Parts: sequence; structure tokens; C-alpha cells
Amino acid sequence: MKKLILSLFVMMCMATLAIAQNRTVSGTVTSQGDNMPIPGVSVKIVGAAGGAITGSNGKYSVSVPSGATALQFSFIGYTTQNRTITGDVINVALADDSQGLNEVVVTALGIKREKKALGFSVTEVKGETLANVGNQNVLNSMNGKVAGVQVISSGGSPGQAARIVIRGGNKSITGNNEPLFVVDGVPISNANDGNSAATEVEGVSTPNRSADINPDDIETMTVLKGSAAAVLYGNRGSNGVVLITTKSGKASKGKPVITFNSNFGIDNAIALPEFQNEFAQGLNGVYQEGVSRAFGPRIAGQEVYSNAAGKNVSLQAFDPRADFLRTGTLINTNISVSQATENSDYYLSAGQSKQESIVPNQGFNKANVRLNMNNKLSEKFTVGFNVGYNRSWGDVASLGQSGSNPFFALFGMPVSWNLNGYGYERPNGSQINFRGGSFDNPLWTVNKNFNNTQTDRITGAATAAYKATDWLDFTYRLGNDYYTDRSKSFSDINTGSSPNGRLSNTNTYRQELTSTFLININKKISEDFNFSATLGQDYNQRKSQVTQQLGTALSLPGYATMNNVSAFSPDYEFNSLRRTIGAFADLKLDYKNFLFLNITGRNEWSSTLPTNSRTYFYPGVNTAFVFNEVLGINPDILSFGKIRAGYAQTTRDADPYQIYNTYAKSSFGDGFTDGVEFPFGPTPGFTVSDVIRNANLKPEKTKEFEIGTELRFLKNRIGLDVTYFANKNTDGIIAVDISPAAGATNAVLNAGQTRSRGIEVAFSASPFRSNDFSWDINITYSRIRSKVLETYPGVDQLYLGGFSGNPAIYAVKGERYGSIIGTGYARNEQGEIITDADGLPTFADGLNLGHTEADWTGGIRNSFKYKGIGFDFLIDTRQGGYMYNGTEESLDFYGVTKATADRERDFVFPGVNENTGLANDVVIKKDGDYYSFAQGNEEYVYKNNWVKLREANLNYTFNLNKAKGIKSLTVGAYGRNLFIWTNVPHVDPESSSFGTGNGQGATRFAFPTTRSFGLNLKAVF
Amino acid sequence: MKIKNIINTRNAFLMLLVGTLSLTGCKKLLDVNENPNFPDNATPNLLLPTVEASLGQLVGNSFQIYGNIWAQYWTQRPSASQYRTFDQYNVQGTTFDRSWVIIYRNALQNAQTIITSTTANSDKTKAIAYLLKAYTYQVATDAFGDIPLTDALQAESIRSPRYDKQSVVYDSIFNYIDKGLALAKNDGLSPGEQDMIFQGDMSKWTAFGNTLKLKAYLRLAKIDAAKASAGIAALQAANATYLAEDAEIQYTTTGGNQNPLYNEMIALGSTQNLGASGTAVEEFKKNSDLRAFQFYSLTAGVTDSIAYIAQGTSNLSANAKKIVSTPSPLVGGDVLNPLSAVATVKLISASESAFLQAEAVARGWASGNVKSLFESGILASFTAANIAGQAANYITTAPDAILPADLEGKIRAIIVQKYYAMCGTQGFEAWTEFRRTGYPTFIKPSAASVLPAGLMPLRFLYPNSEATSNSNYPGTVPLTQAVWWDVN
Repeated sequence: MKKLILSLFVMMCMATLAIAQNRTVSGTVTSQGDNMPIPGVSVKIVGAAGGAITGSNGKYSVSVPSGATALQFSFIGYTTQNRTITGDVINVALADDSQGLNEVVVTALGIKREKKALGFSVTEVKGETLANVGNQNVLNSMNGKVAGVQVISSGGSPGQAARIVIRGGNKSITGNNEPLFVVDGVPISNANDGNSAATEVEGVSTPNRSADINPDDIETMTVLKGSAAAVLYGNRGSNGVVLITTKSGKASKGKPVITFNSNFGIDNAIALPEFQNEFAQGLNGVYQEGVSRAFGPRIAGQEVYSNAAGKNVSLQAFDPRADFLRTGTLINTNISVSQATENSDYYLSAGQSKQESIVPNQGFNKANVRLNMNNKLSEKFTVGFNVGYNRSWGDVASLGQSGSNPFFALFGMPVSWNLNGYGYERPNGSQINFRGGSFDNPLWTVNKNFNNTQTDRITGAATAAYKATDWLDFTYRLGNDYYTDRSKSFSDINTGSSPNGRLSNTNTYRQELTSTFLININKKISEDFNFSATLGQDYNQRKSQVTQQLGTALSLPGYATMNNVSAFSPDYEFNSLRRTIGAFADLKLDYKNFLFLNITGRNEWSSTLPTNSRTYFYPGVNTAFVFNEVLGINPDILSFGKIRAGYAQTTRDADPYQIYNTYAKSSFGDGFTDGVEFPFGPTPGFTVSDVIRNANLKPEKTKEFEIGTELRFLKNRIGLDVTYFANKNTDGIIAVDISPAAGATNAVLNAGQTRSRGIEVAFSASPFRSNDFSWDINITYSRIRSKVLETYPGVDQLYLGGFSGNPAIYAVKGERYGSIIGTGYARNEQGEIITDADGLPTFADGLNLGHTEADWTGGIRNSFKYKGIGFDFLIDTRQGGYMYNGTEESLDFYGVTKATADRERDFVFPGVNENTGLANDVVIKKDGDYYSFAQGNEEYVYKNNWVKLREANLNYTFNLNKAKGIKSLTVGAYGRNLFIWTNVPHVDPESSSFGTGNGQGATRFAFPTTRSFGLNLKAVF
Repeated sequence: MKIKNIINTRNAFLMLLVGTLSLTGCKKLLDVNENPNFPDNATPNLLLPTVEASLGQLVGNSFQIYGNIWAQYWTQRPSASQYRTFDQYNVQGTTFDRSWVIIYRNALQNAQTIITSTTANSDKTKAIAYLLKAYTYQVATDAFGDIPLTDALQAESIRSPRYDKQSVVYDSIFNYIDKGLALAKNDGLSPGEQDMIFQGDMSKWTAFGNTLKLKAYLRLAKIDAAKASAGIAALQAANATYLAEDAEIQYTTTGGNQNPLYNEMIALGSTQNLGASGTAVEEFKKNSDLRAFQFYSLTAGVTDSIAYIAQGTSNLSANAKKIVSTPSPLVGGDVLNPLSAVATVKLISASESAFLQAEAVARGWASGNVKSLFESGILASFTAANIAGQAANYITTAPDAILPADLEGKIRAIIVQKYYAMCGTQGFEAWTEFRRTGYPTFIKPSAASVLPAGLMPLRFLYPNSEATSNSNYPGTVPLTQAVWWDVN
């Protein structure tokens, strides 16, 4: 940020240059971190008037009176230094002040403000800390770095989506709880298209679309956490805002600066299930291929007939997981050129990223080009233009319950199956698989079937700014985010779930247009009072279209073209359009630069609400009091102290088309089928809609209060930022489950009420800091307690996501947001488990097995610098709350987990007989029957506690200050997800099988998390 | 410099204008919330196929499977476990969630929307809607007992409908049939091909209505004989016509238009879960009944044998490797044979119609010849099984084709014959008639039963969705509690 405001600073301060004194001192000011010259540094003569500013090359020259003894060097973002005048040349290396007091941050609508004036919590993350571990999806680099931000990765597939929530993500019970993403002032889509079942149990590992951003283009990422910070964004800012500012050429005065960086990494699966390798496939101790379970004979080299081999084979234990998975690779390459001349600056970059999955034949690629430029047409008129083009493409994994999820059959595979030896296809084209049903041999999946996706995206904005007077300027920005995604999913003939083959082409188109007009007023009322205001108007339009062509039978195997389809399902089309119009005012008043007041108001009109309730107002107020100087506290002890408070009301509109009832083309099924689809032959058929819409719908409302303090101690060696927030959310727009006997399954209603309270702490310390060595610690901590206060009369739980049977995630009245509802043991009044006559436990349905919300999350980052060597590592953790381990439940049923090897021992289930009430004494074995009938979800619900060594970086920057061609060179090594410490067996507890929706806390055959190691190289020319 | 300033000022004003323009056009810009993807209106003839196909889905898939297992035509095959909970009588409320939706939202609500439609000339379609509404309510109440009716199908105002007594539901069923039969006489536009069952032939729909009424009255034979006999006498007095052909829905091989049972098997990865149960197959064998080879696939490589296991024994290790015969393509139950896709789903069959008439006559509530009705029922069944020529020999030789002289014997013979006729195609109705009459007596609790000895399911469980979303949910009623009309 400091470099962004540099040129402004230079201009403002030029006028104050002092003249004609006795002696001239000159030198160069550089940055201690990268030895780069710092332009715009204020050089003051201690104890006298006058001073100078460093030029674009960091050089200064100042005339000092003969009596002067010292110079003070200061610049935003660096620690101020005093140097005694010892000679005519004083070269200074300023230390980076990561706790910069006068740091300027980007706030809502791109308004830059001094951080100390803010009455709400804002956290800024530097781009370099997001780009240095080779994550294709920038969200995955945010873990543990911002207090109150939680990123949940669905799994480790290249390109796979992650969910991000700020402050718990529970303002809307069933609506979208992810923050708004804004790139250079332009709201962009973060949709997770193509993952058709984002709240269900299967889908495809397509990305969330904010992953299209090239992490290397990011200068800073600013997280506006609360309603108070984001109120100007209206209904879209209600869940917080992630503001991304891409790099500009402003810092590259003079010659063009060329930056090249590249990294290469390898990925391996971690947290894989633990398997038994004692028993072969089969049932009741008999070897049998074709069944899904491994309750066959003990493997002892005996001869059995194998259908797959077509002959007798001797039973042995293979390692199908190792046979199948491979080492993934990642190569990122970026090159950029940037330059600033007197009236213009530009930044041009190109990047490519290629990631190959740990699953053969799968991977994800990105190519990015970006051009940002600003041009000063006159003293008063500036135009800016930035545009990013992204193409991403890949062959991505099927997920969850999908028959093409390679991990379903891979994990369920008995060790007696010779995966590579038996192959996957017979000469007649049929599939060789260890089991029947819809779960294919993983080799079949990756060699025969695919999900291709290709997205082309252009995000850009044109900005014009006119400075009418020194206190009044106008800015207009027109931004557009546009992409098309073309997906092709193919299942060849003889695929389990589609024996006749299946081919779908899905095209998704999204466009978001945002027009913003701002009037900025900045006026000093008196010596003590400064007044500034932003008035503005904006317009936002979001359009989308999804079309799908689906072939349900193929003529020939192996041809993934619609020309090869012999039976079609009716085409599908869905169009959506929504608009909002807003008018807003943001008034700021500060008194003597220590007391700040900010009043915000926005009125918004939304197209998705009924005419009489489509307009609503957002008020917000926040205040900050910087007390250390006013109260005269010793700056050596308390260098900075501020308390702040903010309050805002925000509102969220509905999704489009929730007002008017419609009829739909008929299609319905029961049991496990998609059932009947119309047109039926030539016969068209329509049906009343599943959902009763609501012509009296009102918007959802949130009231949020926050209070916080920022403290710096011991000359900024220690920093503490603490925030407490509380919000209450009412009038949730929910498609409430109603009794189907009413004639519909859901009714759109304003119902439900939730609240959330939390604490966010950011702590930083610099135990050591010298010219050669520094050690910095950054700790983040967040603790949130939500509560579902109301659901809807007669409906105590609202579905958030999950299996249609058991278990699913619900918002349950009186509980924290997100509860696992599933089957558990039936217990008597004493809490003892009731067993049946066979000695097996009995079960009850619909039990609350635990909440999914964490008790707290946190991260700790240690950074060390010794001369050119930098080393840092990040540990993050989540403690508390529960998760459902569906992978383990299924693998136990299949008899492949390590625990199921214990199947020959006598066992008495601890419980009481349902008829006699006496202690159960029926001796059983934990065999196939046991795992068929004694399994409830309860057994597989765990405390979701884990600690991860998330990132580690080691790098060395060569000191090339004197070199001609190359300015700096950094080489490094990184590691990601290096270790997981958890008591949850078989899986990474963080992985989520229900996608990026609100239903979190369950995993079932999620794509495994990967551990990455990589090398990177960065050169600046 | 001066000129430049003017231009810049003008640009600034232009920008202002763009900004304010969007405000002035505000209302028009915001009136974009009518769903462009779906119509806000649909005529009765567009809704009718949905009602019919919903019933095909209901009685042709889930109720077909549950009914055929509990009537012991089918049992879970070894090496798979999809329907084992049915063999165990160990089902959960969630099992019935989707059936409940098909009943109320897909079938009944669309029928209701047709009935209340203001579209002109739609009396014929409304007549069919009334008859199908009656049919659906009967299936629903026979399955679940007390169900919502008075309060149902009013989602705009009642989201938690109260439950009506089964007797009230039956009263309404007769009422709906009467309304349907009355409307069927009116002039109006024929639904034609939009009627997937009878292509708009109202005389067939009248016969359907009469047969349905006969079936409903006979269901009350034990709980309210007076009402049943009076109702049937009224039918007789009005010279009611009865169905002489199957009321059925035809399917095709196209995805989404296939027989619903076959379609489910495909969705389950083509796993053959359903196999021949010894209960039914052994009785077919005792009678040398060639229909068995039409209703079940044959043992591989053999032309006159069906491989079966006793009901609920899929888990016995002795059966582990047994290849059990599946239901045949004729009933939509052989996933490996694409002919299963075109198996029809029967709402009421011609043989059922004959057996209903036979029972009414046997009970003395209608006039006619019991024996000829009984035998025409058998013939209709053989005809439906594509072996009409074998019927005569069967009637003369099969022990179970003998019609005893006493009333109870007659009833038993009629119901047992109806049981054979419904194998694989009308499983739910066969199980329901077993509950009403106790016939056939060879149905004994499944070997896998988790219920106390001697007990069998007498109803379906209310769906879990009712427990969680209906504040007037009456509470769980156990599987073993008989419905109102089931008094034996």
C-alpha cells in the first residue's frame, strides 16, 4: 500500500522543500527488506526547519544549518530512523514496519483511508504471502492469515473449490454466506458452477470462480470483515468483502521493471485411510469377486478362482492405492513488466499454471494476462484502464457419491484385488471391476471417462477521474466481469452408472456489470476539524445462462461427441437476471487526527423483491479514538492505542424469481431414480412447482455491532488487535420444508433468526529486530458462537446440505448453526444402548449428533530473516465442533479399514436387551453382518480438531545492488500441508463433501488433501 | 488549457448523466423478476400426463417393489442388499419420503389444479382428474391409514395439514368418483393423446371409475358390510360397466420414459437386487402354473425352472453364491434385458376387475355368475402374461383354480387367484388384499424379520418429512398396527 500512495506523497511534499543553508548532506534511502530504493521518504532536520524528499531513485540531498546534528528519515510503512550527521553522505536502510501506524488501506468502494481512522476491523494481506506456496486457488492461501476468516477446502483435486466465510458465515440461514469479491473496484463472480450438487453429495471438482485470479497479480488483499466496513456495498457486502487490488506500475518509476518468477512443486496424497491387508474380497469368509465387500477368507496364499483373471490365482495382499495414485506436479510461471512515467503507468503480466493431479489423467491449468494502466491526461483528468483475461481448463474429478468418483471404488477396493494386473477392460469392451453397481474401477474412470471444463473470462474496468478543485473530485468506473464455461462430461459405454454411456455438454455464461459514480469531498473546516465525504450512485446487473445438452445413450464406445449419441434427454436452459441500484453517502469527520467519526448511509433498490419492498436503507456509523498521544502515554511503552466501535444494518435481497409461482416441465422420481421426464415421447407435461413462491417477500436483515482496540507496545515491537462483534439476523429468506401433503415441498418465507457473537484477535511481536536479523510472530485467533434462535413454527430444523437420507446438516432451533442430524444408537432412559435379540445395537433416526461450528480457529506464523535468508512457517488449527466421517463408515461396511480386520474375536456389544432390560450377553463377532446392521452415523462423528503445518518457506535473496542487468534474485523452497495432527482417522477432517454451500462438516470419499513441496525463483530486472 | 477544461467539465457532466439516467429508469430496470424459464400458466391437458405418470411412478416403482416383497413374490437377492430392510421389516420413515411427495405434490396437487382450472371445455379432463384423485387417495390411505385430505393441497394457506380418519378418506374417495363419473358425461374437449392411459376414451374412464368404486367398497367389506353392499347394489342398479382391459401406462426405451422399476435398476448401477421368492414360486409350481415363467426369468440355461430362495434368506451363507432368478422383462424387472424398459404399469388390470366382480357376486351383493367371472379373471391374467392358450388347461387342472362352494372358500379362491395374477405387476394391491382378507395363507413372516414372532407389516410408516415439517403430524404409528378397514 505504501508504494501506491508514493507518487501522491511526492507531489504534496515537493512544495515544502527547504532552500539555501550552510551544508549539504546527501545519500540514498533503501528498504532493508529488498534493498530497493524508496522514493518519497521524508528527510527532516531534527531541531530545525526544513528537509527533503527522496527522488525516484531513493536519493536525497538536503541543506542543513551548521548547528543541526541529526536527520530524521520517515516514510509510511517503515520505522522512522534518526541518524546523527557524521559526514556529507548518509545512506539509510529503513526497516519495514509491518505494524505501520499511518498505513493506508483500501476500504469499501476503493476509498483509501488511514487505517487509524477506521472504526471497524480491516485486515490486509500482502500479495506475496498469497503467491509463495504455489496454490492455484488463492483462497487456499488465506488460511490462518486473517483472524475471523475461515477457508474450507473441499479437497485436494487441482482446481477444486474452497469455501470462504468471514465471521462464521451464518448470517443467512440458507442463502449465500460467502463474502463479495471485488477486484480493482469491480465485483466479480465467485460462483461454483458445474458442481451441480453444491449442497448435495455428488458433483464435480470445478473451481469457485475467484480462483481465476492469478495470485501473482495481487498487490494486496483487504478483508472487510463486518457489516460496518462493508455497508457501502449494500446487500452484497453483508457477508464481508474481499477487496483485491492488483499490481500497478506506480512504484516502477523510470525504467521498466521486469519481474519473472516461477515455481515448481510436487503433490502427494496425505491422510489416506488405513487399510486392513489380512482379508480378501468376499462374504462370510468365502472368496467372491463382484461383491463390494472384503469379508472373504484370510489371505494366506491359497488358490482361488478369479473371474477377473480367468484362472486360479493365489490370494495375496496388493496395495491398490499405491498402484493407482501418482505424484502430482505444479508449474507456475509468471512474467510482468511495469513502469511509471511522468503521466502514466502500466503493469502488464502474463502467467501460466499447470497442475497435474495425483489421479492419473486429471489436472487443471490456468493462463492469465493482465494489463493495468493509468494515464494522466491533464492536471485534473485521469483515466485508468485495467483488464484481466483468464483461461482455465482441466480434466477434473467427480466427487462424493458419483459413480465416477475414483476414490469411492479405490478406497473400497479389497487388497486382494490386483488393480494393475487385472486391468479395467475386457476385449469385448466391458468393464473389469472388483464390484458391481455404479462405482467404477478407478482405472476405468480415469481412462474412459472425463469431466472437462474450460472457462474464458474477462474482467476489467475503465475509470475516469476528474479533480475539479483541491477539495472536490469525481470518479466514474464501469466494470464488467464476463465468463463462459464450457464443460463436457463423458461416461463411456459400460460405465456402471450409465451402461449405455452418457455425454453432456454444459455451457454456463455469467456477466456482471457494475457502474459506480463517486463524488469525493475533502475539506478542512478549521485547524482542528477535517471533513470528507463520498457521495455516489451505483448500478449492478448480474446475468447468467446455463444450457445443457444431455445424451443418455451412445452409439459407439469412445467417441465423446453429440454426433455419437443415440438417445437424448430433453435440453435444459436456465436464464437469470437481477439488478440493483444504489445511492449512498459516506461522511467522515476527524478532530485533530485522533478522534474520527464515520457515518454511512445507502439506499438500495433490488429487482428480486416485490415492488413494495424492493427498496431499503442501510445505516452505518463507526468511530475511532486514538488515545495514546492525547492521554500523553509514554510512546516507548504504548506507541499506539486506539479504541473503535461500529454499528451497521445490512440487508440481503432474494435470489431471482422467488415472487411469482410458475409451472415447470415435469420430471420426478422416487426410490433411487430420476424417474419420469417430460416430454414423454411426443407428449408434453407440466407440473405445479415444488416451491410456493412469496409475493410478500421482504429482504433478510442483519444488525451488527463491533467494538475493538488496536494497541502497539514497545516501539511497535508488540501489536494487538482485538475485535468483539455481535450480530442478529432476522427475516431469513428460506424455502421452508412444508408438509408435501400441502401440495408443495417448500414455501419461500421470511423466517428464522440467528445470532452470532465472536472475538477476533491478531497479535504480532518482533522478539528480535536488528539490521541483520529479525524474528516476527503473527498470531490470529477467532472464536465464534452462533445460535439459531428461530426456524419456522412446526419446523425445528432447516436443511443446509447433505445426504437425502442420513446424515444431513441442518440449522436446528436452539443450537449453534450447523448440526449433524443422522442415525444414532437407541438408548433407554439411563442412556444405555438398547440391543436386540441378536445382540446388535438398535438405532434411532433423526438424532442431533453434534454441531459443526468450531469452538475456535487460529494460526501462528513465525518469520525469520537473516541477511538475505528468509524463513517462515505457518501453523493453523481448528478446535471444537464435530464432523461426520462418512468415508470411514462406508469403508467399515466394505470391510477394508484396519479396524475391520478384528473380525474373528468374540465380542459382546455393551448394551441392554430391548425385551429383558438385562445387560446384553449375546456373543457376536464383528463380521460382515455386524457391519451391515450395527452401523449408525453416531459412531463416525468426531470432534473436528486438527493442527496443520500449513506452510513453510525458505528463501534467499541475492544482494545484487551493484549488478547492472538484474536488480534482485530470490530463490526459495516451500512446503504446504506438511503435517496434520488429528484424532480423526482415515481422512483430512477439513475436507468437505458437500461443496461450498452452507452444509459443512461431513466428508465422504472427498478428494484427499495433498502435501506439496516446491521450489521457486524470482528475478527482477 | 481553457478549452481542455471545458471538455473535461463536459465529460464530468456526461458521467453524472449516465449515473442519474439509471435512477430515472429505475422501475423499468427493476421489473425483471418474472421467471423467463417457466410458464406462469398451464392448461389441464398439459397437467394430466403428469398426474398419470406420477401414478405410474408410484405403483410401478416404490410401491411395486415394497408390495412385491411384502406379498412375497420377490425377495432380496444374495450379493446385494438394497432392499434387505424390507425383507427384515426394518424400514425407516425416510424410506417413504419421496413416495409421499409423488402422491401429494405430483399426482394429487396437479389433479387438484386441473379440477379447479377455469379453462373452458375441460370437463373430460377434469373427470379423469377426479377419478385419478380418488385412485391416488385410495392407494395412499391403504398404505398409510389416516392421511391429510380436508386440509391437503392448499399450500398457500395451510402448510401443516391435519390428518383425516381413514373412514373420512374413503367417504371422499366415493365422492370424487361420483363427481368424476358425472363430469365424464359432459361435452368438452377430449384430452386425446394427453391422456396416457385411455387416450380420452370416456367410456373406458367410466368403466375405470365403476371398477375403482367396486374395489373401494369391497375394501370395506369387513369393516362396514352394510355400506359396501349398498354401494355395490347401487352400482348394479345403475348397470355399471367395468373394466375389461388393463388401465395401464405404456413406456418406451427412451431414458426418462422407461418403465419406472427398470429405470431405478439402471440408476442403481444395473445391480439385480430383486429375486424370486420361494413363497410365490413354490405355489406356482404346485399348480404347474406356466405364468411363473412369464413373471420370472428362467434359471440360466434351463427352460422350465426358476431359481429361488426362501423369503428373506439372501444373507444365509448357503445362498451366498446362488444365482437367483430375477423378475422378468414382462414386469420390468430384468435389468439386463432392455425389454424391461417397455413393461407397462397397471393401475387396475382386467383380471383384477373380473375378480372384484366375482367377489361382489360371491358375497351376494351383485348378481352374476361367480364361476364365469372367476375364470374370466384367470383367462385375463393368462392373456396379460401372453399365454392365453394355456388358461383352459390350467383352469381344469390346477388345484387353486377350483372354486369351492362355500362363501369363505370362494373368497379365498378368488383372492388367491388375484394374487397369482398380480405377481410382479400389482404387488402393492396384492399385499393390500392379503391384509384385508388374510389370503393367501401361505404368506408367512420373512426369515429375516426383526419383528416379534408371527408379526408382519400391516402398513407403511409415515414419512420422516411429515415428522419434521408438519406441526400436525399425529406421531409414528408402528408397522404392525392394522389400518382401519383391516379387521381380521
